[in-house]
Amino acid sequence: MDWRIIVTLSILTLLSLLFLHSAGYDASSGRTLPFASKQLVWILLSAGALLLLLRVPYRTLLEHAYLLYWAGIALLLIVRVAGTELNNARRWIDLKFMLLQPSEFMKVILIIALARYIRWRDDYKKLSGLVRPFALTLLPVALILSQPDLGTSLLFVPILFALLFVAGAKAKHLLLVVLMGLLVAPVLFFGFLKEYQQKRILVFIGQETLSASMKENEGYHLNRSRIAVGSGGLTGKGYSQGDQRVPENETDFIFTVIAEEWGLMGALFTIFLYVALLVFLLLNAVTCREPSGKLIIVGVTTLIFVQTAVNIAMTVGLAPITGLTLPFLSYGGSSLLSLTLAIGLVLNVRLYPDFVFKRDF
Amino acid sequence: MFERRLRILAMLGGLYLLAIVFRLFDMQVLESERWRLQAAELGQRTIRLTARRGTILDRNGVPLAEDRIQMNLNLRLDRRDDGSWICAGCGKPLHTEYEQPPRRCRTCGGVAFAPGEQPDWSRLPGLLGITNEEFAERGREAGRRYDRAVKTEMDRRKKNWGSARLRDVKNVLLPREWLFFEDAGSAAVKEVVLHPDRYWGVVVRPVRRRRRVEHPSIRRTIGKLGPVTEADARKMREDDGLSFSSIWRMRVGRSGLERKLEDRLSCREGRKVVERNRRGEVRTVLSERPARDGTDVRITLDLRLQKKMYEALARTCALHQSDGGAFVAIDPANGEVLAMVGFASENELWDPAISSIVPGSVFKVVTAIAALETGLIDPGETLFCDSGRWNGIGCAGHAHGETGLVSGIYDSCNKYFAWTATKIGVELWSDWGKRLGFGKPTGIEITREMGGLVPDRDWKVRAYRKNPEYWDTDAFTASDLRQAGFGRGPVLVTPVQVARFMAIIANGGRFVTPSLVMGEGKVGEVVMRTSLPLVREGLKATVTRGTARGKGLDRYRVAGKTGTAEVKPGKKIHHSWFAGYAPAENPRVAFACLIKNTPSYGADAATPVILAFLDEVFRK
Repeated sequence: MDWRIIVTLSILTLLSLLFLHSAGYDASSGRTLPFASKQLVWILLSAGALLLLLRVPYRTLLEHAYLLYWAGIALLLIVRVAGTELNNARRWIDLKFMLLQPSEFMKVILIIALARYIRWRDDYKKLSGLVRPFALTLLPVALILSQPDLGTSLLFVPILFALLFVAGAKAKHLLLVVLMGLLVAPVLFFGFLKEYQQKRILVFIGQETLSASMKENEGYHLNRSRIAVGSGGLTGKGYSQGDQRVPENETDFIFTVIAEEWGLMGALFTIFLYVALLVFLLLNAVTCREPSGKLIIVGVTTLIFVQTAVNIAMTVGLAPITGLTLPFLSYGGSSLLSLTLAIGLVLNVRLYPDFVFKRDF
Repeated sequence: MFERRLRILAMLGGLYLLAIVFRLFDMQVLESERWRLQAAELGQRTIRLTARRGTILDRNGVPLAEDRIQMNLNLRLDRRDDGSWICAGCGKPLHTEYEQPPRRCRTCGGVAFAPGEQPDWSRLPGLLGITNEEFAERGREAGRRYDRAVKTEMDRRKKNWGSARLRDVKNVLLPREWLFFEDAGSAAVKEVVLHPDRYWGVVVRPVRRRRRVEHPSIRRTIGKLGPVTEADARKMREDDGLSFSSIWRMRVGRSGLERKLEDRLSCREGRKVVERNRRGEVRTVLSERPARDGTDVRITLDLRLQKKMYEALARTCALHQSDGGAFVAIDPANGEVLAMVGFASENELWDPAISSIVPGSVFKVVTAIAALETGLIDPGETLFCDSGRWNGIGCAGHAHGETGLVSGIYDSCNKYFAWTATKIGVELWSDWGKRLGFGKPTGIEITREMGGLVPDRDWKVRAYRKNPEYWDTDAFTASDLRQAGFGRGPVLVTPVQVARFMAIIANGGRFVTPSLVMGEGKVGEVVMRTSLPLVREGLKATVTRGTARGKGLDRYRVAGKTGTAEVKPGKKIHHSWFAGYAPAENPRVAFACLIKNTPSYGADAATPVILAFLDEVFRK
């Protein structure tokens, strides 16, 4: 068991509860919305799920990787047909006691499926061999993009690239794919993105020259979030003394609360925790001797890194606003559960080292 | 291979994180001041500190006009066309997945419902005391006003800027609450406040409103409030440094006491600019200007007496086929106006108590005082009054015989006072008229008070210039003077002036400045000296054996003078007057009563009103 990861995760969780409590203050009704206490329930549930996952050796999961994959795809299809709609998006399945968001779990499943796929082949070193792993990835991406959920769907691509890259795919092949992606980007932008998604990207590009009307409409989140972060200063306004009200500051914008109330110090502390977590994960990848285990750890690390980096970047205006949560800090059950399971995979790999079948990439 | 590539990835990731750290450093340390300013702007709230306008109280402390908090029901209207969920209160997108209904918007606290969740307003019409029909119509009316405002604003933007977005107009510019029901009762307010889920979209708003006594006997005297005029606004900006945004909401006295006492009654709203944290707790007070309440003013009128006198006046006017009248009573000792009632059956806005009108014989007393004070006649000297005319002047067929000053007063002999006036001469006569308070407003605290007219040579010149056909000459002729001498022709007075004149006689000849505000009436220098005993004797005799005998006035030992001013010669329509004071030896009240356009004579028409007043005052 890797206690470094457990301890880092616990500190992040405590930080989460602290700032969910702060973000939950509701001036208009004078009470605190119960984010922190509700999240605590999710933390306990996730911990339980983690323990359950540790009882199943990860090779069992790998054996059933494609089954899991198709089950995930099926759930995404159910969402398409019978999903619950909130805020103009159809992303959830209503289980009565919770809203299940299959795309969150698809992230973890895809890591397992790709690990299984890459583990037993080396045709991805040729250009033609890239087609099938890309197909494997782009199927859920397409489904999630149609929900629409741009942020989550874009998470899948870096995972694929990272796995192929560390597995030894030719860098020039991957660069070629990136180039092709850039070429079709305008088509995607105008053809597939909804108007509000286009506007978010435009607002991001022109963030220094927003008109007053844009600051109140499309650029509202970006503007408010930057004000909250910037006004925090070096040391912040003090815990629960923040005065900015960034919408969704308990989920996607929880980082603004930390940066506002604890300032640069708090922001750096948070980033430090993430760096520590990522480094501990990568150390596991290095020490692990089993190829699919290595791939799983790299996939999980990439997942957590991309989600963290993009979320923080969007609060400071370095990335367009996408609906990505900040791992382990944001309020929300599905996100926490799926990321805890992802961490669980890493711990699982370390827990069952006997499953060694040496192969060098 | 694997570890080398892993290192490359880690380095790339590290670089990206480094970029974020630099950005954070840039925003939070280097550029922090810029964001702090913006944050301060957003976090600033201006809290209005309300102020209370002074209350106008009657003599006994009964409030006549006071600020009162009333509960209005407003409707929150916000129609988003695309059906998305936005808060009806603030227009921001709603995030409702965490809350059970009724959901509250976390930005503004408004109650929001998902589509399909229907509020239930069915109990409200009953509690408001209106029918369901009327209730629905009020709702529709609020909606129509909202739609009209949207349309107007859209049109304006299209015209000025070429384009307009409905969403901008709806979210940013329009008030989101529209008045639905004014001054709701406590039962309805309680129901709405206790069941926010049932009354989604209904907001209770406490509003400060001026409430005045609406009885016609005092309504006009109190006057009313209105919006600030441009001139007022400019003055307030210069004097008090108020911003237009706070001025446009203010209401100031526009008529009556409300206007004349504006300086005392007026209040100034205060404001406090604060910075609050997310909890709504005030972190710093940036600036504060305290509110200033207005001062209460007690006036000399008595609401109960006003009502009584209004009824008496209205009853008398009806009885004597008159279209209106006035009654004014003044305390001669201090100038307090004890009662001031005007009644006009046809024109509600016109107040006879402060309007100019022909005085008739009442003005003979002025001529008498002028004659005695100037010493230009000998009080013993008499004029023989026969039934015929003297210089075209008759006494309505009466023959008063040998008439001196005293009997001239109590018998109201036109010829005697026409003759007296010619002896005094126009300069001295009009000078004495003015010295006794006629010809200009008395200055009581009420708007639109008229000044009346005491004719003199200058007046005649002006009148001739204006209407040369009517006046033969621009010189003040002997005929003009004779007419004016017994209160006809161009002389004009107001009932307030006449009552004040009687107060002067009643308190021993000292000039009285009447006032409606407690303690602000003034009794000034002595204006009548030598004339006082004889004039008083004449006025007393009017009631005992003169024109007002046998009317019951002697019960209160009234002294006074009747007046019957012909409106149209020969038409038997008069303005009937009675002015006087009581008790004659030790006067406590002075009064004037006018009954307009009546076929009855002065004593007959006006005395019932006087008696009603004296009953009220002296029976206690």
